[in-house]
Amino acid sequence: MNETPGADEIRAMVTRHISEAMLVPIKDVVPSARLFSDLKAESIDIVDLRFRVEGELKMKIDQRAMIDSLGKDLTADEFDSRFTVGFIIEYVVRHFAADRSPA
Amino acid sequence: MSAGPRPQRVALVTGGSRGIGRAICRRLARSGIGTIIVNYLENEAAAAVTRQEVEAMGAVAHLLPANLAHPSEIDGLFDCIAQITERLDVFVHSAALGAFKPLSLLKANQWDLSMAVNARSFLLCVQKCVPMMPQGAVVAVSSLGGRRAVPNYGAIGASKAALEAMIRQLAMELAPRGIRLNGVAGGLIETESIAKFPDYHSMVKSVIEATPAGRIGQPDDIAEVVAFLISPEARWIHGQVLVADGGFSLM
Repeated sequence: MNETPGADEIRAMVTRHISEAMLVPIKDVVPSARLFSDLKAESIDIVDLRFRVEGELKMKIDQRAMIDSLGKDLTADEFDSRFTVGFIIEYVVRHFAADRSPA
Repeated sequence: MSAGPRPQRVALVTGGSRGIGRAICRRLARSGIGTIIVNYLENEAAAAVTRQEVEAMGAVAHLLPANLAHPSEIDGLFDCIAQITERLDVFVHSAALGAFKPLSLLKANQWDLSMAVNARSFLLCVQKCVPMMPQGAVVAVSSLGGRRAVPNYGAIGASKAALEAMIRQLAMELAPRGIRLNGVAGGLIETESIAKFPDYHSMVKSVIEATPAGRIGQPDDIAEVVAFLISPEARWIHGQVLVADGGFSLM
């Protein structure tokens, strides 16, 4: 990507990387899909996804901050239900924009 | 004519913010290396602790984050190193990452990630180091999983086997240039990363029972071997992977 991508381009790009990192068909990568329960992600796949997105967008994603932004003291079920494709995509869109906004 | 004071030696350590890498940074500083360049992925707080420990030994520490999974970030890392020094004397590859699961269930992307960080990045870093090393020593941190079957360690084990093959090959290629390459393979070492293993506690117990020396390895045990391998006393050792495991692999 040579020019600064817009939000929709980022959404498409993250969707593609989720498909590739989770090895699932892109048609299954819908906003409501839960990474762990629905797409059968493993923790190493989340690292892989992050590296792919960081590499393409030349940005850094603080994985701990991302997880923390889901909420505090979540049960395993709450975490699973909130850690969705839609959450990840919008987190990346938001932080990509914040990274590039003037201080 | 006086040769003047000998310049202080400079070392690069990948994966230097925690565990074995941090112990190596600390040990290299103690051995008199004047500048330690500490590469790490992202944990700035941990890297700051490494810096503190290195500086407490009287050496200078430079913290350089880079994700070694990306060749472009390795390029960037060495661009930053070039701003600090024209010469490297020591390179230690301690960065590692991988999936802890049966190899028979490993997915292609998980294989790729383990190989990229543990093996490919070593090659790319060595290629970058060579022009900066009129002579020098390189040590890669391997593990017993590179030559033995270890439960849930297939991905990392395969990458360590590749690492060890590269140590031998590069040692042959670079010895004429005055660069020695070796490796150290530990058994189970007590670090934060290893605590992520499934069944960590039962594994530690069984490893201790199977280790003649009667304990689990510590990061400093590996760091001491690294210090030896880069020392002049190891000058005739080329392309070897020294096992340091308290005798675990003897049984």
